[in-house]
Amino acid sequence: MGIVAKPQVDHAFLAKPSHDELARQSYASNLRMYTLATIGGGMRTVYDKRVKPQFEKAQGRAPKDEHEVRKVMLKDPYARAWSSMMRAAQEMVWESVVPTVERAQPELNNRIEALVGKPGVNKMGSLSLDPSTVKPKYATAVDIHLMPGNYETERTPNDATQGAFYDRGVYVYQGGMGGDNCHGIGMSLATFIARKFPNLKPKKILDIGCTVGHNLVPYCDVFPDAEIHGVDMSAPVMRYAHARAEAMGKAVHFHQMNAESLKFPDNSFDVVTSVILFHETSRTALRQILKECHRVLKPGGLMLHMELPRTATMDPYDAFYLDWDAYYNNEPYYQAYTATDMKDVIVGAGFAPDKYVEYLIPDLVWCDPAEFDAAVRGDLARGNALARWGESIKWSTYGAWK
Amino acid sequence: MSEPQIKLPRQSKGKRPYFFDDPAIDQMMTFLVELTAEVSVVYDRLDTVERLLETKGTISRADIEAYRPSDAIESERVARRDGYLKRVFRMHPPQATYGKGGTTAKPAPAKKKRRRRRRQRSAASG
Ligand SMILES: C[S@@+](CC[C@H](N)C(=O)[O-])C[C@H]1O[C@@H](n2cnc3c(N)ncnc32)[C@H](O)[C@@H]1O
Repeated sequence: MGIVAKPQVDHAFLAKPSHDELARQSYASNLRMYTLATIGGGMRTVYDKRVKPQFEKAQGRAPKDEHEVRKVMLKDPYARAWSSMMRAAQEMVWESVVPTVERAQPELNNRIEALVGKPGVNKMGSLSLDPSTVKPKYATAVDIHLMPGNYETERTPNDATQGAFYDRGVYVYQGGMGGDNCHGIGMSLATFIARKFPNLKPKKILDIGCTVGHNLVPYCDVFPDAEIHGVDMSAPVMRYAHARAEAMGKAVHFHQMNAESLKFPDNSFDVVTSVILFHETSRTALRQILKECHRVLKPGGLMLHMELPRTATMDPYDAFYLDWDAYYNNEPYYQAYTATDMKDVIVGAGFAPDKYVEYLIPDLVWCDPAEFDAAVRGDLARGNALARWGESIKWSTYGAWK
Repeated sequence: MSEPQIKLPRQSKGKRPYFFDDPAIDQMMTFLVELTAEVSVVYDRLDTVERLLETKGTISRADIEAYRPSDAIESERVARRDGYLKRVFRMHPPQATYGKGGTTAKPAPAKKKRRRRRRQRSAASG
């Protein structure tokens, strides 16, 4: 049976679905999970029983990498049906949220504007927008993971629609598996840092590419004494992030900035993080962003980036399966990221090779607490690379001390 | 001040991939997948009506609109949707080879050949 997740935590700016919209969104989540886990699970059997033996018979060897696997798999009727369903399900996720968001706007925009613009409104955090922010091509050329309008589309001067769309859409996409506030990864990362490095006691933390702050807001609870900052290049998601954090009673400072040229002075932060950002940036940008992380980090500070597993070192079938999104789900930079040697680029950005670190962090929403303890101690087994939410998923993190 | 109604795009930017030789099959898959969603929505609505009627003699549309499933009821719905997905999207079991009678038993002919055949066919019919 499918896992039942908790409903999304309501807040003052969440676009609220009608009875039938909610039913459609719940179905979209269930369909996506079913396609991914149950039908997707059969793909391995198809490969082992049918596709691989046929390839071996014809070529006298096994497929050597994920590209060869993809070529032959996508000729198979099972894999074609699965792919076609996956694509349709992903489209349905966003489609199911569109009417909800359209109805909630523009009233939401007006309320957000009132909060953002009014002097004297008692706020915990802040928002600073910079319309001159350069939006790089890699981030705007296609609608990433098929979200129509992407992060940056702005229809009116106060528009926060794409933020509202993303907030509800990501919950439906995750089927609630990322936590009832879509906060699971950020909570895991922050808790890991706090427990593994109890003496670090960061005073200022920066998260880059934070979108609506799903994975940044949990930092407030884990580090109540720290000043929390988040940057993103897109104004609509920043406006929404600010409103959402205020509605949740969390003090976060949001800044519209390009992570390739941060406006913060050198040596500003004790901790710099990102969550699933790198697979959406070009390789050149990745190097530049890492240099900026190094620059704004205080000496003795920690940089840690959480990302999807890198497929370069994986079994060709697993790599093919994980890379499917890169090809068919509008994740054009997934592949570049996946083939990148993180240590190489981190050292290239100015960090000392012996200061490089990488950790596997179990997802706090789903893992056994003993597993998290093991990760903090440093003796966690690698586990299944294809594990998903609801199973023993572990997040790959890469970073360094300055 | 009232603002213009915001319209979201229905389509994402970027080329849409197709997986079957004939894109019409992918189109049909979209129709099918969307149709299953509609059935599931109707079922949830019916379930809402039934549950409301169990506790009240008469109900209004507003009662239905206002109803939200509790966690326990949503978990019953998830189980029901799961069974529904299993029945509708009944994949043919992955097996080593296909049985007789199917056209897919042989590997699909190379692209070039197919194009030539189509040309011949259209020449024959035109
Ligand atoms: C996948 S989302 C990150 C999700 C987010 N960290 C979370 O955990 O919810 C990628 C985000 O990075 C932003 N982005 C991409 N390139 C950027 C850049 N060079 N500078 C700043 N933000 C960038 C996009 O606008 C988008 O909001």
